[in-house]
Amino acid sequence: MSGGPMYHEILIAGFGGQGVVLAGNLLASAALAEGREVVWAPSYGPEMRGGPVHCTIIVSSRRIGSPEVSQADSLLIMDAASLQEFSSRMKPDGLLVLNSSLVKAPPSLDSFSLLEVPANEVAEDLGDARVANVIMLGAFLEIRPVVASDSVVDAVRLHAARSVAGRSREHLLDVNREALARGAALARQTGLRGS
Amino acid sequence: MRPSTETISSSSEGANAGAESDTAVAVPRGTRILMRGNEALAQAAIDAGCRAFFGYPITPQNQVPDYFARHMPKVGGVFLQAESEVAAINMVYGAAAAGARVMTASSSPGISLKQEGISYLAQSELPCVIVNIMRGGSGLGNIAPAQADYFQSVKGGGHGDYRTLVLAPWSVQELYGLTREAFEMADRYRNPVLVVGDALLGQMMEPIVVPEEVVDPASLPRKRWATDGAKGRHRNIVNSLYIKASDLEEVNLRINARYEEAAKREVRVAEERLEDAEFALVAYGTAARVAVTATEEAREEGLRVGLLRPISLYPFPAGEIASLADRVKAILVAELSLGQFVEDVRLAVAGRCPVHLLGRSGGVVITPREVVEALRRLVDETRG
Amino acid sequence: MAVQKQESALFHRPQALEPVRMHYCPGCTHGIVHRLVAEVMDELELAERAVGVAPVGCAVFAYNYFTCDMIEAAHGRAPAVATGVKRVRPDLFTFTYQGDGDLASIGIAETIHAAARAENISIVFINNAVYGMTGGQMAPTTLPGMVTSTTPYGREAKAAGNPIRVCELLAALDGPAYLARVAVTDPRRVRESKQGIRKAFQAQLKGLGFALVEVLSTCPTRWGMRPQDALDWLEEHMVPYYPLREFVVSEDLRGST
Repeated sequence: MSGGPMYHEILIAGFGGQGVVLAGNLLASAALAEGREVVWAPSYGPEMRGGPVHCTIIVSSRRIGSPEVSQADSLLIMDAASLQEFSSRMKPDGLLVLNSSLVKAPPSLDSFSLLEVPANEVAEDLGDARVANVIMLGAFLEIRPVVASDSVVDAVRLHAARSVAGRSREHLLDVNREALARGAALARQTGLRGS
Repeated sequence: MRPSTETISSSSEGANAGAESDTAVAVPRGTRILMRGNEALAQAAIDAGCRAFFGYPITPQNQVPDYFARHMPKVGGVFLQAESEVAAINMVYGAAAAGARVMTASSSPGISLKQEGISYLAQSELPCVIVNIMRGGSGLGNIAPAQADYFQSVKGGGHGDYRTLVLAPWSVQELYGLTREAFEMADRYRNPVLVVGDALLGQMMEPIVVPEEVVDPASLPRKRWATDGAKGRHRNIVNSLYIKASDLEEVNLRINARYEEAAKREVRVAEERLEDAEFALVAYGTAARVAVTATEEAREEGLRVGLLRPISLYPFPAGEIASLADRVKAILVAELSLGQFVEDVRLAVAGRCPVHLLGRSGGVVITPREVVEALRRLVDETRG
Repeated sequence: MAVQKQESALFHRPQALEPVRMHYCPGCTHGIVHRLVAEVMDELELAERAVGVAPVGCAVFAYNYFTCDMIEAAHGRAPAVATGVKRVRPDLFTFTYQGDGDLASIGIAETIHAAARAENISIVFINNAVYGMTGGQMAPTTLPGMVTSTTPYGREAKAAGNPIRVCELLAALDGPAYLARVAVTDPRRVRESKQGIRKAFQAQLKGLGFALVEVLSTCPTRWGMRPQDALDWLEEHMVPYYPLREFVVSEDLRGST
């Protein structure tokens, strides 16, 4: 089940409703299914609809010590406010995945790598604005395959089956699978900017 | 007028993907699952045969009452949202007096409010489990992870001459395991047992294996001292009032003897790479998680460092720390408070070696890098 | 044929009352109310499944006087303690016995919320308008103008607030199944008080929810009066301010005795 040795810290940030927490959950569930060690942690803040939200995920092939992510290997940023808030929470040679539908890339790239993903446009194109988060995930995993894309699909299936009592969300499976694939394809096409 | 159940349950979105949900019949057992710390400890209580929870909402432990509210009805248990933390701990007092395995949970300011009740529980020799998912303090503070309730936890907390037994897990798996054990300890010593975590441990998800075997509350032995109806026996009285000084002292000595017994039987520590260590980190809970990462990083830099992690904070592993102090050149204590835990470490070390402190406060979590840098300074000083 | 004269007891200590000497001051009405509680417990055969909760205040030693299981609560928390007992053991009968400082001052939140939850417990509430045990301080039910050790010039609303009418306050809630105010000033009223306590206990036995009987009582010691004068003072001053009546009687309780 598990691949080679690895240790990767990810921070996902956006505003409430963008599926930040869900994206983190899917990543964590996929890592669990692959036999990895994983820690998922939410932001601490008062509950507020539409407010800023972020979560961190550590995926590792060995026991995880500190559960706190201070400097992430990869940053997935869904909106402009989050870029401002979290750009300092990335390792100098980290990967920044940016939702270019809502955020302009920072002028100076320093030493990190940048991947721009027009996640909202692609989501609209897929007919479901809610899957912008999964498109971001697909693009990220294409560059840093910390888990297999198939594992994320399995996690979506699990989530869809469980998330709402008495109502199947199986129909969401297809659009999420498609979202992952489109994200991955975009990453291949645009490639990385920066070092 | 009434919000739909869907609206209500959607607020726990974060918890549902990896763990259970309303549609899940029961938590999967014997296999790795993802669970939040707060939910794992609540499931642990149910698995320990606890069928009564009284609490009041406070962040960052809100998944605890939420979990009980959803699951207690399924197992015929009691969940009650009390009007205050004060009321909640006194409901615990009543339920414990009636012989039930019972629990409450809160976070720092709420635990302060419960202290009166905890004092009464201890003096009345009533078992119960209390969970404190600590947040930044003092006062209203914030809702970030902290360990600033150390003194309050291990030195009594409320008024009087009592202690609470205190367990400090460092992972979601341990939150589950130690919460279950806390119920056994509470009954064994007829005393409140406190499980202390923090905002991070409570809210994060980690893989955990929930064991197959659970405690059937019906299988628990009847408590002969309980106020559960004086049928066929003389009445029982649950009380903490002893007007005559010598009477009260007698009770306190009896309770104290149990603490001494606990000190012999319940001290728990874990060690990491101490075999050849020249320098030791001493830390508990989340700070110990940071310290274990720091240990690995420091080893890569050639420093011979190990970690001693107290799991029981009361009884305190004074003997283990003293013998460690005989073996190492210096000790660095890492805690998410400004010099509380370190006091007990220094008492145990009793001058055998230098003890330094790396403390952060107000919800700031120490980074492994900070620990390594502090270690390096310590090494330089010791050699200098 | 010789007439055989059989002896029969006309009056005896209730079985639910321990044969011990009580600590109450001479002329205090706590003893009367304890007896009424015990008589009702006997009549309803409750002693073997009753758990009483004693307060902090003059009745703090009540746990020594009843033969049923007893719990001593922290000051004001008796309704929460009784809630804990009743929730985990609904088969037990649970009552609290509390004074005015305990119930209406420090414990008013626990009282109101137990009532609002329709918690299936019974409360015997002794209102004597003063703190007895601590030395005669103002109670939440101390009357306007009344002299206590902390209102030495008489209670003045502006500085010391107004008295709380507990039954009226709780009657505004949907939870209570039975609320009544009684007094133990003369034999007729004592009999009425017993009826009130009986109904409050029956409310719980029938599963109807929260029941409270407020008993206007005297404190000759802290009022600085002889016992008979205290009874007269109660009639003259307290009864007009705290009217004696039933405030809430659940439909399912009517007709029961």
